[in-house]
Amino acid sequence: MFALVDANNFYASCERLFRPDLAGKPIIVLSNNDGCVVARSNEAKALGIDMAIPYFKVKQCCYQHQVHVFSSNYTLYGDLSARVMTLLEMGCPNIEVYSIDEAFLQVDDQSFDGLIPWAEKQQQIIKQHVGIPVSIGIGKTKTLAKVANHIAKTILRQPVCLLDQPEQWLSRIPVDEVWGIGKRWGRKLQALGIINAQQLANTPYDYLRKHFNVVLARTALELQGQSCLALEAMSEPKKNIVASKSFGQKQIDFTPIAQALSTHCARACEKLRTQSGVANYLHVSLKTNRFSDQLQYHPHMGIKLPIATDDSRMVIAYAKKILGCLYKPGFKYHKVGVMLGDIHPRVFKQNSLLSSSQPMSQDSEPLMAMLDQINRRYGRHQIYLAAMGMQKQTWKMQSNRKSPAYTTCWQSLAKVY
Amino acid sequence: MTPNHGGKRDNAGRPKGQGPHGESTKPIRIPLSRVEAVKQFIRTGRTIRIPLYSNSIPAGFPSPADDHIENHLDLNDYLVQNPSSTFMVRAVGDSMIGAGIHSGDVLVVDRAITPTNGKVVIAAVDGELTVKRLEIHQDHLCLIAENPKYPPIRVSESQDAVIWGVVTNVIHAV
Repeated sequence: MFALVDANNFYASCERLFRPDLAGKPIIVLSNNDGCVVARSNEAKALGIDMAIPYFKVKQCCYQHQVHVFSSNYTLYGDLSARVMTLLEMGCPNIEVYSIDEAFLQVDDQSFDGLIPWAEKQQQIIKQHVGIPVSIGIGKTKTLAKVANHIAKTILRQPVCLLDQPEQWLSRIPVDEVWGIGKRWGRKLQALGIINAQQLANTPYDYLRKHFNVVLARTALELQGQSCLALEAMSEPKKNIVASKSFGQKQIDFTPIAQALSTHCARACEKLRTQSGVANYLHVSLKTNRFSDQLQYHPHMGIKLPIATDDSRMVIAYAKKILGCLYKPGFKYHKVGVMLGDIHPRVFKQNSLLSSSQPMSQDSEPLMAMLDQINRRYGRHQIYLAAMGMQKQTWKMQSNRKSPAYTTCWQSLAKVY
Repeated sequence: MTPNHGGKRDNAGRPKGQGPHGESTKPIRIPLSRVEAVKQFIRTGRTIRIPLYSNSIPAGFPSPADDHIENHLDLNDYLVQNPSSTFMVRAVGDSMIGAGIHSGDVLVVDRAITPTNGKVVIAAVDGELTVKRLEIHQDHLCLIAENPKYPPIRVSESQDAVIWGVVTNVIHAV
């Protein structure tokens, strides 16, 4: 049996934890750069504010209904998420952390009759210890656990749902609500007369394999109760690392764009080093805003690095060379991004025959390790490369409505009276 | 009997050393309470602690203190029993001065502890977080300030009040 634990409106719940005055009030959380709505409390959902809608479209509605609007505070959400996951792991060591607010648990060691009390206890512990409400769905497969969670949240409106007789429910679940089926497949399935999850479960494996692919065919098996997807205990090291953010204001000049790009490179290299990888491939992209009526230009270019590296300085140097090729004056740029690819574990790193002629390779490891250690200990960007820019930067993201980092910064602790 | 079935298959499975650690790994038993510390150690490569004794050892002459180094002092061990449920908040005002809580002090709050009669708690009353001593009566709760200037807050069923967590320690700079 699998259980899916999913925090209810996670970001909104995090914002409420230190703000009891927000209980029962509508809350929305905006994406990076305050662009779109990425989380809504139930009260905000009831006002008809859609997921992923651009903020400017609902600004009036938010003002009218006194919706509390927050920029995303990933420091806070990340800390609270780690606490929830630690508690879950103590209650069940077979865990796959699926996203910031979801985890699969394999619960075969629990007696079947004991599953509901066990899940209710987990739910209560997390609510009391961290203050975050979660829903737990239990089923024979991961896909059924997802369905059970959906039923718990949207139909039963109770914290735990055990799907021991899925047939009763599956006909009530629209096919595009099933895990892994997006809007596009949903439309295609509906066109073929497969409207709900039960119909998908009844569709023959070979038919789905032929008309779609093996992933969807497996999803149908999983809906029948045949487990095809195992728990992925350890997250695989990433094969690609992307760092890309839109600018706070549109940028025209080369220098601020290069600074933003350097900052993204430094972030990507830091991530690369935490997974002890080295990258062989570097890709840079530059974009104007597709949604504006301005002149459009979306160039990008990738290169194979001369040696596999995790050195921020080397990556920044090459990324800036690429940017030099891509950049053309006269456009209002919206976004710059970097991707590191062809990543391998550092132990297998092969030195190029020419590497001894590159002075930065000698001191690279201790220097980068020291950089990461200082920034981890004293906060991000305590020390950084000059390429990332020293003055106040207009390309920095807007996050005007961010709540304090209540759990990670001494200056930002919640006040009690 | 089919001798070709079952048992070990040579070269089966993923090659060693391709996981997130980039080298071969082995399972070990760890006390549950130390799991986080070990994970932290693996993530950061090391932890920094202040040794109780620090001795340079003269060659050939063992320090008499060596046998007595038992532990390192870590304030987290002393102040935090349950890391997942422990939060820090800052006290403002003098309503709990009698309990040794001054304005500006950092309070260590553990949400895992059951709020019982007499505990100093953080409560959410009328949308605000407040620190008071909890008194549990048969039909209601009372939140008592440790300062005669502040009247007790009587919490009835209808009133919007939630016990947020139990204060375990006060960190006060002198």
